[in-house]
Amino acid sequence: MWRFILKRLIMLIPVLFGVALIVYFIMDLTPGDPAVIIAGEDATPEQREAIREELGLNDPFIVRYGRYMFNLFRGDMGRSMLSKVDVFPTYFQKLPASLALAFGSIIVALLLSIPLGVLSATHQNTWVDTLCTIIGMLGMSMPNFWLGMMLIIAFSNKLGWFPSGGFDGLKSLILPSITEGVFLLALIMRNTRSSMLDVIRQDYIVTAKAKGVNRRGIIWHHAFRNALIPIITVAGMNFAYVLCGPVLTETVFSWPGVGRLVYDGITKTDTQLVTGCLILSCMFVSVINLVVDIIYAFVDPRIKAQYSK
Amino acid sequence: MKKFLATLLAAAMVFSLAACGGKSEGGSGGESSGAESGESQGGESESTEPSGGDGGDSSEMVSDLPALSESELANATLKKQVVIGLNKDLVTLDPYASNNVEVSLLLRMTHSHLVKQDPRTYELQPDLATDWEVTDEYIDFTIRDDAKFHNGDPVTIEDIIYSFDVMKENSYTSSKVSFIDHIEKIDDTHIRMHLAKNNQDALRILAYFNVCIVSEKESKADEANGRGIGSGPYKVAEWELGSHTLLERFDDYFGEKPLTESFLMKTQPEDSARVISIENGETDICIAPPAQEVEHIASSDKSMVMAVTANKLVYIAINQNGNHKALADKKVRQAIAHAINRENIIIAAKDGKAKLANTVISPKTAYYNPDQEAMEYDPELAKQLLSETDFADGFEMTISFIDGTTYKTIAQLFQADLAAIGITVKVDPKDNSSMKTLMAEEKHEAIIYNWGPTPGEGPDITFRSLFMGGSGSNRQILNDEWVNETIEAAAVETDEAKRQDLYYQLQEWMIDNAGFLPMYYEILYMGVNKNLHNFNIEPSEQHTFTYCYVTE
Repeated sequence: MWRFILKRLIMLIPVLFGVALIVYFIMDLTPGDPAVIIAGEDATPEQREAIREELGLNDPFIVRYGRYMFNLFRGDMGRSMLSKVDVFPTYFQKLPASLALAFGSIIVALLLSIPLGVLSATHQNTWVDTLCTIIGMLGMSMPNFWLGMMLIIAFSNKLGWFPSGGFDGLKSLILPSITEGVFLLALIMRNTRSSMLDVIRQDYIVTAKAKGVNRRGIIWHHAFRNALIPIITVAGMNFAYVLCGPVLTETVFSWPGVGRLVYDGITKTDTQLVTGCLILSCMFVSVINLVVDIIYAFVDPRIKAQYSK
Repeated sequence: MKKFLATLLAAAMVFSLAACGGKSEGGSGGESSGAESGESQGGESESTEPSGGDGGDSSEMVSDLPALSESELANATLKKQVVIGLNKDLVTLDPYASNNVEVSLLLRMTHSHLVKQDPRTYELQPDLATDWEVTDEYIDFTIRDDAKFHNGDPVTIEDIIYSFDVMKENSYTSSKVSFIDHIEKIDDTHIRMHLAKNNQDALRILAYFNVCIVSEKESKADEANGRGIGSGPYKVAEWELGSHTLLERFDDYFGEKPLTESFLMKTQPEDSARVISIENGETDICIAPPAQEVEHIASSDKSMVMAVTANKLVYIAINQNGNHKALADKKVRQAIAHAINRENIIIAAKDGKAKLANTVISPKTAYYNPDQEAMEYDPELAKQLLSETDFADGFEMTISFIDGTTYKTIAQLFQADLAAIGITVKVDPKDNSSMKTLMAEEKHEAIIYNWGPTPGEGPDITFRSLFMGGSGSNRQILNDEWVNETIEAAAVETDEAKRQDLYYQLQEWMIDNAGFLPMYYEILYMGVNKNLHNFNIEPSEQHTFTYCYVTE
């Protein structure tokens, strides 16, 4: 197991290299001159040129990328070109809000999606199944910025139960978590349903029934546990997605997360900020994938045996 | 089953309708309407959708909230913290690294200047300088000796000299302080500012929000955060990019002590969320509420709407020195000017709620000529003018703008109007960064943009920025010898009548030259707590919150 974890961590290094290269390259292709943004509109051509020289923007791409990677290896992720703040601490300043939203939304999603998914699968082709399908369809198709606004109007503006935005304690987490969680809920519920349907048709379930195991035992002990792998995969992937920043939800709720930081950086052609943040996000996604793989091992002994080889 | 589904769908609809319903039933007080969010700067605004207008009804709306009387104040309980909802993030604490309105809001509270302007009358008042004497060659200042930076260090002559040296090097401030040659220390409380050229607006420029004094020690130690340490009535206690800025009252401030203990500036980029915050009482001030939401703010029992005719002028600039031969022809530009139906633009883009611009500067700028007339809509004359040029058969051109509803509508109407006289226009929406790069490289053909000067700053900054050859904000890429000389002459002219005549001549010339086509003047809105006092809305958006307060 430890060898597996170590191997995966080592594999992270070339992945991060690749991500840095791709992001740096894409940012280089983005229209807009960072020197214009930094210098302002009243700047003379000489002042803009001086900024280009100072930041090394006149150097060829490979030189700039090489310099960036060299500094990265020294632990220096650079400074935002516009705000002049260090990228590394700025990212970690945003991370708690993103983590809170990621956990909040995944909790909302898991608490509702698993019972609904199981219920839907065990009551296939009944009104319960139809109702769950409708909930799933609604969750998948509702734009989250719209849902967010509706929740704000209903629960903040009309009822006054929750604040309309900002990251300020548990109360402020409820509405954004529901907004982001509803989409995940639908996704995980659909996966739970199809995964459960696959499992409950298998022979060992019939055997369990024949041996007189009660319905609850069959569903939760025999079927659900074996249906968990795809559910964990989807939940893990989406947790990583929310952690990296759902820009729309963060914007609607004035949520100070990673997503808006990166989005603002992109709109301002702030290559240092965007590249640094995406490398860190990529690292977290890789770690989450690793955690998901480890959870597989606890859920399925066959996978654990494979890791141990 | 069917009944169940029908009930479910009905419940969903009721939820949606209830949520969409808002509070429109309350009315708006009749006056409020059209403001759209925008990213504004002191001077130019890169807004995709600038603040809206109300067709001149703003006079009926509140623009100034008086202070409470001493007896009222004695009986009132003040909120310790005033919360401001910003539509844009405060991207830097460095005064010399931005011209953004958000930064101006901060700097007006955190930094001191040599002189400052009364936010209501624009009269010059002492700030760090207690006294001054102006000559044609220099300005002598007496500097107060009791001013302290937020880190406790005294403000010294060396800090002042250092600050101006940095300003002269910095792209955001260098053009403003270009009239200064150097600053000489006379003694510990006196400086002599030697002028490179005389400028009648010199003192007003020194009161500009980012012509402020920073600590040399802190600035050298940390450019990003160190320059955020000023000597104003509030200090920055917390700053989180993309989230909030907390300002706390600075007890060692040399001037009048403000009543509010702290200000929290929250970044709320989503318009509706920002409006709901002010309606709920979560915030006390809502910057740039969108037009359709103003009614909701007015109808809330916790909030009200303030409005004023803004300084912002929306214009179309035509690059007359680019590669486009037709646009270099003055008659072609005049044809374009006569082909544009600006009233239609105001109706379509601003719902009829903006004021038709009559000249190339804002009504709040000194030496604005109210009798100047912009080129009137006359498509027949436009066709005739075009037929007298080498481009009688028409040509193609591109109009660029920062993507957003208002400017897109203007561009589309511009396209339709010009099609009527045989000119094919390509509409070119751009993102903020690409647009700025395009303009900086002077590769544009025509652009839609805006200009919003600070009232009281004097006309020189506006004329120099917009029309002087080589200026970064000169979007028509004009470089005319007479214009340049007249701007210089007007800047140093001491005779009021002669100075007015020069600026009037410049306005007339610009309209005739038709490279800078004024469209309309905006109206600026703000949502505020009903218990806010001692605050006036500033037409340039560079509001001063320092001495406002909210009663419980």
